[in-house]
Amino acid sequence: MRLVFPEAKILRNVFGAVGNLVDEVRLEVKESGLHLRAMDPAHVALVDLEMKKEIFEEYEIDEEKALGIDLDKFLTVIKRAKSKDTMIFEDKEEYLRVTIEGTATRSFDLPLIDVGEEEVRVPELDYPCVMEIDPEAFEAGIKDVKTVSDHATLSASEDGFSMKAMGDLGSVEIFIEKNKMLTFDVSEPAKSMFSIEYLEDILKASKIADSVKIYLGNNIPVKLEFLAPGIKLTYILAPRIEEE
Amino acid sequence: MGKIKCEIVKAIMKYRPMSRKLCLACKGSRLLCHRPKCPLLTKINIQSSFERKLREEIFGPSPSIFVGHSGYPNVFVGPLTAVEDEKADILDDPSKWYGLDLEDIVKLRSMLVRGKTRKNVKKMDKIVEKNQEVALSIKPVDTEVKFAKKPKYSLTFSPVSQPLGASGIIEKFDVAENPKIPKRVDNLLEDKVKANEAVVELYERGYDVYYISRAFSSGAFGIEKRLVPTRWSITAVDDIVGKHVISKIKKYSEISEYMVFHNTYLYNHFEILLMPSKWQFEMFEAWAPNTIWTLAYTKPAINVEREGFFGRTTYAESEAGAYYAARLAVAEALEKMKKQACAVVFREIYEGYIIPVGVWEIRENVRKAMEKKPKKFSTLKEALEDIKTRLKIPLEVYLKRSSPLNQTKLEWFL
Repeated sequence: MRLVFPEAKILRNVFGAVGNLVDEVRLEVKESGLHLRAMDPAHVALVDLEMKKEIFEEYEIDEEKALGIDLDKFLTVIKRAKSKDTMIFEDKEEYLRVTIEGTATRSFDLPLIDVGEEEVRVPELDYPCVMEIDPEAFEAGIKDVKTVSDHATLSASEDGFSMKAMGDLGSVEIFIEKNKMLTFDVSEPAKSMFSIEYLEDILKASKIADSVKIYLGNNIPVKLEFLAPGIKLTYILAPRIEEE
Repeated sequence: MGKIKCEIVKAIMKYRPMSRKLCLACKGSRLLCHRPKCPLLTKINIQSSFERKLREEIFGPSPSIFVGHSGYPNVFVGPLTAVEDEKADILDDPSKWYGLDLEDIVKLRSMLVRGKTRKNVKKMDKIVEKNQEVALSIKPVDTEVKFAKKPKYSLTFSPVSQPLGASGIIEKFDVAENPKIPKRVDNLLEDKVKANEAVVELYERGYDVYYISRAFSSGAFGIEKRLVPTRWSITAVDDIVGKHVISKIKKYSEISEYMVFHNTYLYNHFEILLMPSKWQFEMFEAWAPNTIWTLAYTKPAINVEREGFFGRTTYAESEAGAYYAARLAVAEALEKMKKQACAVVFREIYEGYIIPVGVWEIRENVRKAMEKKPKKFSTLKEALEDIKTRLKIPLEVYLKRSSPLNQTKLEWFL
């Protein structure tokens, strides 16, 4: 296996966004590209990453396989690269060789770990609301909500999308009108409440994408899709139980 | 109410808190009111029967030392010397205090005189070495202390460290016998071992956090040795040991039932709920109005801090040392069970808790709770129903702010 990726910065952001939720992953090296899916230890959120082989400079594999990776160590190595450096990945029996090609050529050997083959199942849900917005607006909204509470109610109506919370310190509401969104498809109003800590971790993926697609329903997990050329990073986050 | 307690209440009541929220957030440590000293923790001058034993020169057993934090990095360091030979070994060992009431604790602490010498924390000279010998000895060490003038008695409190009684500036300080220092501890003084590795090693060898934090404060550990203020060393050791124990329990299987533990001591009531899940920790602190930090409140004030499986990256500011002390006690209990779980701790502090005695109260209180036989339940609902009967504050108030208690899991939607 030999994979050559042209821009270290993209890998740093993509795997950084995965690393906020999980510490170990099973990275599948497939004919079509890379894929990983993992659930956070509390079983509240899952992350699914697809990277098409077309965005690699070189993508040579002898056979499809899965690599067990310690994300913390993997990220430490990726962070050693400059943004524009090229990165090369080769599997060597017990370890993964990561080479950074910039002014110098630097090689790191990372031991592969055993992560088992447990399949992470994804809830199949029907969503009445699907909206595509600027991830920065989403992120800023969640930061506003955090000033009064640890959880946010996300809701959608025919007029637009809102984030709100009530706490001991007051209440806050952020509203994004439907005409300020990239796409907007709401068949009926929906509302669910989520932990801000998780939303914040997930929204760190904003860096990689120009837009985030939100799939929202009533008291069901929300699905957030971050799209960039050749990359799809999907999160599914379980809701809090609504008290009212 | 006892005489000492009555006088403490009177002294505290003289001070009106300046703001509704500040005191509870600060607990005397961050000085959010911008005063040079916490007016609530200001020295309380009450009579002590040991006062007549105070002399300019004191010869007696020193079970420990104390390192102040004010003026950091130039802090007061010195031995805590007992004015009576009897019981000297328990005067600075909170693991032996469980069951004593506030008055007993004040009396106990009043038997110690704190000697003070101003030192830069990085300066390791003869005086600091003598202090270190006292701190590292597993038995009180006979010492001779000559004060500049007769020590003055006044009670000092801290939310983290134990109360202090009389104190005085030291003119001369000598260790009059050979301290009993375990060999491995002595070696650590010379070794280039990181402070947190030394702490973990001693804990694994069976030393309790009280001895370790005393040694830690004396500057015995680390590659660059330095004095560590007592209150910081207590929480640092709770945090280091806690993280170490947590790293072990994260490898164990999850508990299979909901478990409820509880205990009350010193007007502090604890309910500890363990849930089948990967390791997570959440702690509530509900302060009744009219405790030292809630004089301006008419309703209970609630703080909450938590951490997920990967731990936290920020300091648990609103609960400070209490959070790390309780977390350690819960983690220790899980280590004994060889299990992991999601733990939710409810701490209710009642009005009678008029003075803080230090975080040992929390550590020992939770340890006691976890030693008891738990009640077991098959559903969260049943476990919460049981907890509810012993809480003073409505459960709903907690639920609203809890992360794990009100969170669904993805598999519920498969």
